[in-house]
Formats: sequence, structure tokens, C-alpha cells
Amino acid sequence: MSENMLKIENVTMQFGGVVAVDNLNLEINKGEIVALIGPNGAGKTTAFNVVTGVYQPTNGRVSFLGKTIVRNHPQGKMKKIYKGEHPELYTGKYKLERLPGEGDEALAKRREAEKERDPNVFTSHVLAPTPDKITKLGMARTFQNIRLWKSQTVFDNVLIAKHCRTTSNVFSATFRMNRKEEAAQREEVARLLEIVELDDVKDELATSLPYGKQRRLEIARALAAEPKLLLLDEPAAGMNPQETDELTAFIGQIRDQFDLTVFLIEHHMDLVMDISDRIYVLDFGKLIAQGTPAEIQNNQRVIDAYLGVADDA
Amino acid sequence: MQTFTQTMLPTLLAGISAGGQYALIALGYTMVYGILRLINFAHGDIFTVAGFVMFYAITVMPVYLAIPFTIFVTVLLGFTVERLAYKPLRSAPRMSVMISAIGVSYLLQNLMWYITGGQPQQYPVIPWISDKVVILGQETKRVTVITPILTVVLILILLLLIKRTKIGLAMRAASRDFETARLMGVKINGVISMTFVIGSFLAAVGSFLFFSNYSTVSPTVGTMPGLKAFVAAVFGGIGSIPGAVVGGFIIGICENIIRALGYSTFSDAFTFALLILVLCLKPTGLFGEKLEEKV
Amino acid sequence: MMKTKNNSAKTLLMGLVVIAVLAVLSVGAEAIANSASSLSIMLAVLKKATVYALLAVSMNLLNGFTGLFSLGQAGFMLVGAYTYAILTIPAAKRAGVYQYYDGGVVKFSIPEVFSGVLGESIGPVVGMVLTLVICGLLAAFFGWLIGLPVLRLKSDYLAIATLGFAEIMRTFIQFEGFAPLTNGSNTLRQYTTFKHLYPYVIVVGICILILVLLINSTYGRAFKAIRDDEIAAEAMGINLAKHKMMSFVISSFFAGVGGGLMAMYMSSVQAKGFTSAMTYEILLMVVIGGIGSISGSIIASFLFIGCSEWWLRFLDDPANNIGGLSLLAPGFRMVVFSVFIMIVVLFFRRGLMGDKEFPDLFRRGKRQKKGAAGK
Repeated sequence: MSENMLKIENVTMQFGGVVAVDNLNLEINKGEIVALIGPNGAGKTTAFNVVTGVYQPTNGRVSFLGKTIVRNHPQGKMKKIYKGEHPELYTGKYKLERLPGEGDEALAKRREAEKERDPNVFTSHVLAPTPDKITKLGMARTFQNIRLWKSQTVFDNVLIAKHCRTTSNVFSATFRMNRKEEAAQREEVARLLEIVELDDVKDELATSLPYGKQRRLEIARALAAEPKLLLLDEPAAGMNPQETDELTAFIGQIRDQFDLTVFLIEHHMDLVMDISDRIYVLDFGKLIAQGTPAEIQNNQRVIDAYLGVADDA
Repeated sequence: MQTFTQTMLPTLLAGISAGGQYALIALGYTMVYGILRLINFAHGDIFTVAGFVMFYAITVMPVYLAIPFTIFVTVLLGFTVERLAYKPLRSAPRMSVMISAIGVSYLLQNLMWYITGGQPQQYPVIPWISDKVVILGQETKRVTVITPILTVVLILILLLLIKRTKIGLAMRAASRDFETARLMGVKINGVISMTFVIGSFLAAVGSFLFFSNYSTVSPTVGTMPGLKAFVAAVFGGIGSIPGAVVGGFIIGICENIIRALGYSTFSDAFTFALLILVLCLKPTGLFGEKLEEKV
Repeated sequence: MMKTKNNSAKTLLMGLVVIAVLAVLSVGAEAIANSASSLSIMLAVLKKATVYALLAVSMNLLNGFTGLFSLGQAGFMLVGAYTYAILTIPAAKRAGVYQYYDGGVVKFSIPEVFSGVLGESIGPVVGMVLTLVICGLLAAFFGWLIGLPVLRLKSDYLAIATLGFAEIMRTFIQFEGFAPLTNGSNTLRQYTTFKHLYPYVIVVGICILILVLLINSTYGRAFKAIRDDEIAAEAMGINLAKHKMMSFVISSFFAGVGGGLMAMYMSSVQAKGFTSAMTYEILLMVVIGGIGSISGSIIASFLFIGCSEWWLRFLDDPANNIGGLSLLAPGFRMVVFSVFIMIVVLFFRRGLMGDKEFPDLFRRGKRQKKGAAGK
């Protein structure tokens, strides 16, 4: 059994009355490339946002490298309107009542059974770190709609991502007492840009790059934050087949080179089937299948829900 | 009962009256914000200009002409400011438009200073509304009593306009989603102009009431009531018409109670403290809607 | 290669040289200004503009580099100005200034304390500079207090909340209960000031140099990332709350120092004067210079003060009217000036410098050539 990198347990994300992600369970092991696929609006990006701390989940928990980093359960108004799985556990005041004539042992057993259904149910401890804290733990992401810092050069975009690894405080940085660290960071960034083959455009504005290079820059920026787990939100969106092939090779290459685990959302089936070790399929917020690419390709539910739609397109 | 009519009643009356004036100005802020997401910093100055226009108009024409003339000039000014200073920036970042509003405010204040020589001017006495009346044994100006009534009537008309007419529908559409409304064929510039026209009209009416009570006009006199009216709009939930009205009355009344208790230095500070409290606890105000950015 | 190399040590050295040169020039300018009575206004303009340059740059740190639209500048300046005045009125003159409050509660004057220790020549200067630092620290402390609740707010809400705080501070300073300290709504005067232009230039120069170094440091880059895309910045590990607070507190610090210098320039302070209009003026300077350009802010503050106080003066004099027109009268200069500003705001939205810095202007040719070669 290889080391566990990311574990998502019973995660439900509900916006008002809409359940975007419904009781998602997912595991990623060290060194794997795992894809999350599903039709538009299936809740893939929402799941990413929960993992990276952009959204606080309505229920469930996320563990990273064996440590729980995000945890929540329905609270306040959500207690009344919760519509995800196991509503009986969360709506109203849930308490495990002793049945008439039930002994301590039987009660404890039932308690265990409830925990089996959702380990989150008896804890009230909420963990909701901001995205930057999660990034510092060793997770970095890209965005579906590219979010580069527009007024900054290619080089600075990557350099800024190094900021979260800076140890100097604002005074030592202002008065240039961190010269060694700064120089080391600049060197690393220069090396990183060489690896992603953007060193020839490093002084250009990030937004002046062609689309494919902007995507690659976003990945370079994420790498600069020194992640163990890299989350890619539709990295091949808008790319032509040739660019997609290059990207496929590139993702494999950086995985090996930086000793990464990769979790990605993608619509390009070629890419997904090529590089994924395992695939999870979401539809209407629910997990409908999981397995190796070969298993997913032959899964009837997936074909109905997803590939069938893709054929029409 | 005796003490109530002697101490509390004048305070309450003054509070309701000030609240009505704030409400009228606040409507201008809230409607513009609802559609353009712009804090129109120049609104308080438009209100002051209305005061000066009345001051000059009364010297050359009778009251029954001066009032409509003032309203006309104020409305024209509001319309012109929008066309010249905000319309060219329609696609610019919100911050640029806000800076433009601050620039207009600066220009209007300097212009008023130039024209008036910077001296505070005695606001003309408008017959009937400046008359003294006696209510429950307390003497007060009639304007104190008229203000809340007039405010409520104007707001009802405004609500009717927004709920029942075609331009009102267009306004609601534009405040919900500016771009979509434009794509759906709403003549967005017309709607925005209309918003400024209504806002300036209400500011002009507010200025008659306000200056009849406070009696002097100076170039910067509008800044404070303007800011307070804005606070009222935020308090009620910016973009919401009932919110602005409720906010205006609450601030007007609270302020006068604080003055009556002998802390008049703090009446302005209170308003802003209230603003910060609201922004921190419920940034959307009493009746506002929530906006979120998509990742 | 130019960008990859960290040439900040050079920036520091260059900055110190520039400050030294400017200090020497300001001595010369002062001599020129004193040579003819018609030029005496020049000295006042230069002093005022120097102070405003610091205020504009400190506001630019927030509005231009961190993307926090704050309008609380006047409040922090007020704290700085009052701190300075209160701590530097000579003990002997306190009875006269605080005539209604038995000479006030503060009985000492920092420059006097230092002249007692370090002698008459450098003691007062050390004391004055130290007081300016205290002005900054106190303003920074208020910035921190205010930042706690308001920095979570977005754009225009933040603007109005900080504006509100500035107004609250103004009220509290005038409060009778604090009058033994602040002299209530009466003016504070007769405190110690810099007599010449060059100390203003040196103090402001050093403050701006520190800000430049900060903006080009890793923290400054983080601020710019927050300005460009807050969500991406947070996702890349930049703690928004911490960095926004840092920027806010640092900006408040320099606004406080600027407030202290402002008190010196005005030679008497009264809370009544520190209105939101003052903040608006500084904001307009930032806009004219270019939001996100330090050199722009500096140039704009000199142009702004020069125009509003000096070069347009002739417009205020009815004697200059030509023919039958009677347009020229007191106040007309400000009208013309505000029309100028509106033209900049509407048609030259990027201001004088955009987000470029002064040295970039010489570098541009080189980079364009390189860009062309790349394509």
C-alpha cells in the first residue's frame, strides 16, 4: 500500500438549496496521476475549491498527508436546509438515543456503525483554513479560467509564487538583508522557466503570451510554490490536439522530475486516458464510477452519463 | 406625559425630519449604486448646488417659479454630470469612476466657492413651509412636520414608478444584471440618465427642506449630510430603496437623540461608527443582496 | 538578464545619492527663493509639495500597489500632526497654547529634552526626527486597530469605511474630554519646526526610498499580486489578511510621518482642517501621477501644489482681466485647476506615468527593441 496523499471523505457542498457536490469520497496516493471527470456542471471545480480552501464544505473532511486539514458539518441555517446524503444525521439535532432496553455495548456498536457511515458525524470541531495555508502545506493549483497576475512579467509571476516560501520578514526584506534568499529564489525561478521552456519570454508581460504558454506559465507558477500535490483545473482547455499531446508529455515529465502527485480535472479524453492512473467520475455532484482508464471506458453508467453526451458534441 | 412632550417630542420631530431629508438624498445614492455600482461622491454637492440655485433664483423671481426652476437646474446638473463625467468611463474599472466622482465633487465645490466668494449665504425663507406651527404645545417650523409626510409620498410615487412603469422595469433589470439588460435591448444610457434625474430631483426637494431648517448655505455644507445619507443607504442595504428610507430615518432619529443627551460632538462620529458596525457585521445592510465572485 | 539579477543594492545606493543631490539642490533653491520677494512663494510651494509627495506615495502603496481603495489618509495625517505638535511645543510656551487647560497634561518637549542631553545644535534635530518616528508609530497603531475590522471589506465599502474612520478620529480629537492633551477644538501652535527646506527633502526622501525598497522586495511583489488577482494570490500561498494589514499599517505609518511634517509646514494645526477633502486631494495627485507609479506620485504632487498655489495665482487677480470680461476673481484658479483634473481623470486615465517609473522611460527603447527581435 503506497502512501496516502489526499483523502476526501463525505464531502458535500451545498449552495443555498443546490447540492453541487454530494457526499464525495476520493483517495489519491503518492506519485499517482488521478483525474476527476464528468459533464459540465457536475461539481468538479467545486470539489477542487473545497480541497484548496476556497469554499468551506457544508459537510465532510479533507485530509492531506494523513492529517485532517478541512472539516465541517452542517451548521446554523444549513441544519434545516441540508439536502445532501444522510440528511437524518444533520438536519435538526442529531443525537444517538438509547433504545429501550439497549445495553452499553449495543449502543457503542450502533455508534460505530454511524461513524462508519460518516466519520464526521460526532465531531463538532470545524477546520477551515484559508487557501494560502493549504498551499503552504504543499498543494498548489491552476485555474480553469487562467488567473495570472496581469501587470507582472512572466518571471515575476513565478517569482511571486515563491513568496510563500520566503522566511525573511518585511523589515529584512525591505532593507535587503535577505539577499542570499532572494538570489536563490531568482535562480530557482530561472531554472524552472528553463524547464517549462519559457525562459526566452521571461521579461514579457504574462498576458502578452499566447494562450498555450499562459497555461504552461500557470503550471510553472504552481510548481514554484513547491507543492507535493499539484491540482490542475482543465489544463488542456482550449488547446488543439498537438498542444494537448505536448501537455500530456509535459505533465508526465514534471511528475517525475518534481516527485509530484497530480490531481486533474479534464475534458480531453485522450489526455485523461493517456496519463491517468485512476479516474473518478462525477455526475450531478455524485460519484458514479471510479477505476483505471480501461475500467472507466467500459463502464456503462459513465458512457450513459458522460461519453454519450460527448458523442453528441 | 408632560416631560415627554417637552423633551422627547422636539427631539423625535427633529429626528424624523432630518431622517426624511437624509432619506431623500440617500435615494439618489442607492439608485445610482444599484445600477452603476458607483458611490456618487458628487451627490452631496449637487444637493448643495440646489441650495445655492434657490438662493439666487429667489432674488429674481417669485417663490412659485423659483422652486420649479431650482428643481429643473438641479436635475439638469445631475444629468450633465452623468453624461460628461461617468458615461465616458462606462467600461473603465470601478475605481476610475469613483475617482471621477470625487473629481466632480472637487470641481463643484471650487465652482461654488468661486461664484459665491466662499461666504455662507442666508437661505431664503420659503413662505408657508418656514412658518411656525404648534404641535402638542411645542412650537416648531412647519417644515419639520411636512418633511416626513412629503418623503413618504415621494417614495411611494417612486416605488410605483419602479414597480409599474416600463422605465422602472428597465431600471430593475439593469440593477440586476447590467450587461444582460443591455443585451436584452434595454437602452442602458437612458435608464442611467433617468436614475440621475430622479436622484437629483429628490436631492433638490431635500435641499428645500434641509436648508429651510438650517438656513445657511456654504460650498461645503453638503458634504456631511451627503456622507450621512450615504451611510443611511449602506445601512439599509445599498441598492435597496426601502433600505435607504429606513436607514435615513434611523440615522436622523439616533443623531438627534444623541444631541439631546448632550453629546452633540459625537453625533457625526456615531453615524460613522454605525456604518462601520454594519459593514463588519452585515456588509449587505438590512435589505441588501449578496454578491460573490466566481472562482 | 537585467530582470533576473537582483539589483536592489544598487537601488539603495542610487537612492541615497539622489537624496543627497536633492538636498543640495534644495539649499540652492532656498537661496534663490530668498533672493527676491516675488519668489518667496516658491519656498512654501516646495515645502508643501515635498510633504505631499510623501503623502501621495504612501497612499499609492495602498491604492496603487495593493489595490486597497482606502480614503482614510486624512485621519492618519491628523494623528501624526497632533502627535508632533503635542510633543514638541516648548515647555515655556505650553501655558499660552493650552490657555484654557492649565498648560495641558504634557509638560515636556522632546526636542528640548534632547537638546539638554546632546547639546543645542544636534539635540533638537534628533528630537524632531524621533518625534516624527513616534508620529508614524502612533498612526500605524491606529491603522492596525482600524484595519482589523475594515480590511475584510471590498473596494468601495472599504473606501467609505476608512473615510468614516477618519471622520471619527477628527471628532475624538476635538472632544472636550481629551482637551488637556489635544487642546480640544483650539489650535496647537508655537511648536518646534524645521526652518529650512532641506530637512524636509531629506526626511521625505528617506521615507520614499524605504517605500521604493519595500515595493521592490518580495513583500511588495506580493502586494502587487493581491492587486492584480486576489484569488490567485491567495491560492499561491499569500496570506491576504496579513499582507493587506501590512500594507495598511505601513501606509498609515508614512501618512503619520507626513502628518507630522505637514504640522511643521503649517506651523499651527487644528483638527477642523483635516477633512475628507484633504484625502481627496492626495488621491487626485496619485491619479494624476499614475496609480502604481511612485515617481508619478512625486511629480504629480509638485505639479499639483505648484498649480494650485502658485502658477495659476494670476487667475485669481481681477486686475488681470482683459477687456470687458470679469471672469478672473478669487477662486477662479481652483475652478480652472479642477477642470484640468477632470480632463486627466477622464481622458488620461493612466495619469502621467501609468504604472511606469521614471528610470523605465530610459529603458523602454531597449526593451522594445528586444521584444521586436523576439517576435
